[in-house]
Formats: sequence, structure tokens, C-alpha cells
Amino acid sequence: MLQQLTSLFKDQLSTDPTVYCMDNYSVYQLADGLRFGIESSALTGRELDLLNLIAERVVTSISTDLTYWRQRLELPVAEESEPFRMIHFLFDQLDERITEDLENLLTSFFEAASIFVPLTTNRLLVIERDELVSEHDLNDLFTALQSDFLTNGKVLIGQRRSHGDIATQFRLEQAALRHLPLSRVERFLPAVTRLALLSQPVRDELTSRFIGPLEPESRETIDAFCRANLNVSLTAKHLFLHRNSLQYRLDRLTEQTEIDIRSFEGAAFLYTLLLLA
Amino acid sequence: MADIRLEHIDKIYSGSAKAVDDFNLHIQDKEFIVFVGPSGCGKSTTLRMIAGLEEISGGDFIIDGKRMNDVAPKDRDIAMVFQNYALYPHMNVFDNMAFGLKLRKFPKDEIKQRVDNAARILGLEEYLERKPKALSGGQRQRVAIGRAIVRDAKVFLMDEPLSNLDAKLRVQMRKEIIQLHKRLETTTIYVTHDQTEAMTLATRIVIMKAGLIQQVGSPKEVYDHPDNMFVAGFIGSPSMNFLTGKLADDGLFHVTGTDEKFEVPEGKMKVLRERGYTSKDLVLGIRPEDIHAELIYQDTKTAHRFPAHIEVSELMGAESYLYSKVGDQAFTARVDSRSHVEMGSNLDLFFDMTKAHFFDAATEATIR
Repeated sequence: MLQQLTSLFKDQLSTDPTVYCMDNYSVYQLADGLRFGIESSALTGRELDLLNLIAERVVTSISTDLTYWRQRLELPVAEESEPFRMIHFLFDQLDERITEDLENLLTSFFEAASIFVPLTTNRLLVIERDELVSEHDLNDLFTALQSDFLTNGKVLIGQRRSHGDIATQFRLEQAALRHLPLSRVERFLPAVTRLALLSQPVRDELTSRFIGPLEPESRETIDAFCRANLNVSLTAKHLFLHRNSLQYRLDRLTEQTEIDIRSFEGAAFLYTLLLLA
Repeated sequence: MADIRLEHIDKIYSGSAKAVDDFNLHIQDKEFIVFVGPSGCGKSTTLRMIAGLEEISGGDFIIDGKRMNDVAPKDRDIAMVFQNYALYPHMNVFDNMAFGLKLRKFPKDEIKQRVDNAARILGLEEYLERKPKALSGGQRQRVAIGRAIVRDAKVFLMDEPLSNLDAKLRVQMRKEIIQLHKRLETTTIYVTHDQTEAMTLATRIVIMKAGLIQQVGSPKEVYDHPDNMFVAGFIGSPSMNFLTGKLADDGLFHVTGTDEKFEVPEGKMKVLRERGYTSKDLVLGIRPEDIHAELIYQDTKTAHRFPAHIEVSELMGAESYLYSKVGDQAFTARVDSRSHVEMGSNLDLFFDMTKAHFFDAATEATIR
């Protein structure tokens, strides 16, 4: 698709964020998440209509804050020193008037410190800081807004990170969102485990991020803990360790990966990656 | 006013069979239509296509003469109530009910008037300042219904709105929904898998199975005159009993694998013979309440006497369910519980053959 568009618009099309983030570009996102911009002056009304059919129009940012966050999420690496969790919303059939109402609704729902980033006309991102809304409340919100806005959609609750590379995390979670079934509010771990099973590049990325840096001792701990049905006493026995030593190893593992291996979803995620590595 | 027509509606998900297949229905203004059927029968999918939450793969969806297939959901003048209460957790009851109107830019005075009116109808006046967390399940569901009422939409869509409530509350809310429909007279389409809800709420029931409509009719029509074995078995609790057998030359219905012969009333016999069912496989259907234990039936010519061995007897209060078998074919009788029947006892039961239904064993269609 992009190749065809490039041959049509030539130099007026760019896939470089530093170029298309300029005001004179109309920015679009393809189904696989790839973004591109076309000089607005090169587009006729008919071409705009056609583009809206094949891609999502990326919301043109006006505030400085929004421009900052949009660029930050597109950088190859963007280290975040404060804690964050991203909530990704994707809707069908939203027009711009509704997007504004939706933004107001979400602003009133999330904590004041949260950052609200409209990505495309159908796609919204909320970055939470310290105060996190509950999954239950998010489910209620999502169903209520489905009945008010009469639109289908899906929500991904991203991973809670104490710090780290927000741009890479954003790309991974957006990819997981794409593979979610409609009408679902999904947590990070099940969504990303599903994605790891579906996509080889994501599998490679995840194994190198989560399993690659681990020492053999940590890998052995994941394997033994899962084989013992997450039973600490049994795992300690199998590994010839004192129970407290195993607890220490599990704590360290959680610290390193930011995944709680004591939870079923965390264990399933790490075990799947270990098997695929 | 809302006159709704669904003409040859299909829903096909990519790479799978039709989820809804050639759905045809004309819903008249003020009707309360219930879609009922087991999980995966296409009832919720049809409702979501009407709401615009699912795309219609084929056919025409028409409201008041206007084709709505490509009309945006928000412009269809439809209000929907979901299964899980669908309330904004951070808003109080008033704001929850008012939100849909604020979205549609209604003036403040009118919003207040409509919300107050809905709160009065639903008995929520004293809860308007409360957040959803401080409400009971029934109150929350009432607010969810209130959110739909205030919109004063042409059509209400309700997707299993009572299934998250406990049994007692469900009965109470069912009554309230009937009263509400009587008062507002809004055309309503209601989805449920519960045949009791369907029977008590509907002006007409649409029974579905595997994406296909099995029968459309008033609760009494579908109960008394089911079109096929699926409808006969789905509507009614306990379900209709089915006994397989053959209509022999002697004019009696011989139950498969036994010496048991049921006399078939003349009228029904005539139909079966005319349709060529002599010596062909048949299914006899009889509702549990048409099998009696009272001795008064022994002198009734059309009642077939069957010496039953009662395997299980369940006392339900005013009535008892007796479980027995003809050969290896199980059946249930629903009898008056005044005379207690012990488990393991033998008892004569009387099958009222004037109430019997006959089905083609191959097609499962009712023989009429």
C-alpha cells in the first residue's frame, strides 16, 4: 500500500516523523501501525476521501504538550524517568465532534495528572502516572460509552512501568491492541502473550527484552516455578534451595522484568517466552 | 413511531459460516419483541446490527420506510441497554442519566426535566446524587434503563439486561419492564436466552437457532403450536417430552423398543394418515402438564393410561415433577402435589392425547 502511495505522491510523501510532524503535512496511519505524512497542498478532496478509507487520519496536534508527547512516542528510544501506564483506546465510527466529547469524558474519568494524547480520529491514548484506575471501572466506562456513543471498540490496559523506554513500550502495546478482538478490555500480559504467539518479530523482540538479559539461574527459576504450579515450597525443594532464597530470586526476577511471576498471567507470559526463546 | 423491517438480513464473519442467515421480520410500532435462543444462535448479533455496532453483511434494515444500513449508529434514534449495567463509575446517577442528552446538546432545563421524569418512573428520585458503587444491582440496572428512557428514542434495544441479577430481583425487574413498556409504549427489542423472560415480556417472540429464525409468534402461539421440535423443546419449563415411535396400521402409536401403544385421537390420526405418516418414524411430543396423576382421568377416553415407575419425585410446592421412562425414553410429568408420590413407587399416569404434538422424525417439523 505504502509503495503505491509513494509512487503516486513521490517527494510529497514522507515516513520520517521529523518531516511529517510539521504543520503542512496530513498524517495517516495504516492498519499495521505504519505512519506517513503527505503534504496537505498535494491532496484533493477526492484523494482525502480515499485516504480515509484505507488509513486512519492522525489527529493534527495543536497544543505544545500534545506535539511533545506525539513526537516522544514516535522516537526510536525515549527514556521515561517517572512511573507510567498507558491505556489505549480504539473505536469504530468516530467523527471529530464525538472525539471531542469523548476526550472530555475521559478527562473527567482519569486522574488529573494523566496525560491525554489523541493519536488518530479513532485512537486515543491516556498515560497514567501514580494513580491508576481499576480494571473494573475501565470495563464499566467502556460499556457505558459504547451505549452512549453507539460505537464498537477495544481497550488495552498497558504495563505498569516504574521507568523505562516509553516509545518501545508504546509500539509493543499498539501492536497488541491491533490483535485484540473487538468489544474487549484486555490487560497487558494476556494481550502480549497472544501477540508473541502470533508474530515472529514481536516474539524475538520480547524474548530478547525479557529473557535475553536473565542469568541461567533466573531462567531455571521460571521453569521450575511454573512446573511446580507456582508453589514456592515445591519449587524450593526441586531446586535444593531454602524457601527464603527462592523468595529472594522471585523478587529479583520481578524487579528485573517488571512482571510479577507469582501471578498466573505473569508466570504464563514468562514461561511462554522461555519456551519460545 | 417506529415501524421496523428486517429483510433478508445476513451476517457473515470472514472465514466462517453465517452467524445470521436470511433474517426476515416486520416489527410494528409499540411492539415488545423478544429474540430468544441458545448461546451462539445469532440473537445478540442481530440486535447489534440493528444498533449499528455490527455491520450488516446482506439485506435491508428499514425504520419507518428509510433504509438504515449505512446510517451512523448515533443517527438511528436508538437507545441500548447492555447486560452489565453500563454506568460511568465516576458520575452520580443524575449525571449518568443526563450524559447521553448532554452529548446531543439538549438544553439544561430539558435535561433536568427528562432525568427527573425518568427517575420518578423508575423510583430513583432519592438516589440521584449517589455514585453507582453505592447502589444495589437492581438500582444500577434501573439507572441503566433510565439512561435509555431519557433519550426518548424511537426504539429501545435491550441485550440480556437482567442476566446479571439474582433470581428474585430478576422477577421484580421483569414486572417493572412490563409496566414501563405499557407506560412508554416504545418499540422494544429484547434479547434473552431465558424462555421465561421471553414468555412473560413479549408481544411476539422470535426463536432462533444457529443463525436461523425457527418461529415468530405470540407467547401462546409458540407454546401451543410450535413449528418444530426445537421450538417445542426450548419453550416451556420443564421441556416438552419427546417419545419416538411409529404409527402402525392398527391406528396406534407404537413407542420404539417397547410394547407400549398410545391411542391417537381421531382428528390427529386423520392428519397423520393424510400426510402419509403410517408406518413412518414419528416423534410424539407432550408437555409435562398434560400428563396427569389424578384418577379422574382414567375414565377419559382420550387419556392414555401408562403404569409408570417413578424414578425421581421433586416437590416444587404447589406441584411435583415426576421423572419416569417409557422403555428407555425418559419423560417428566408435572402433577398436583396434593397427593405425595414417593421415589421408586409405581403409579398410573394419564397422557392427555388431545394435547399431543406429532413431529417428523427426520425433519423435526410439526405435522399439521
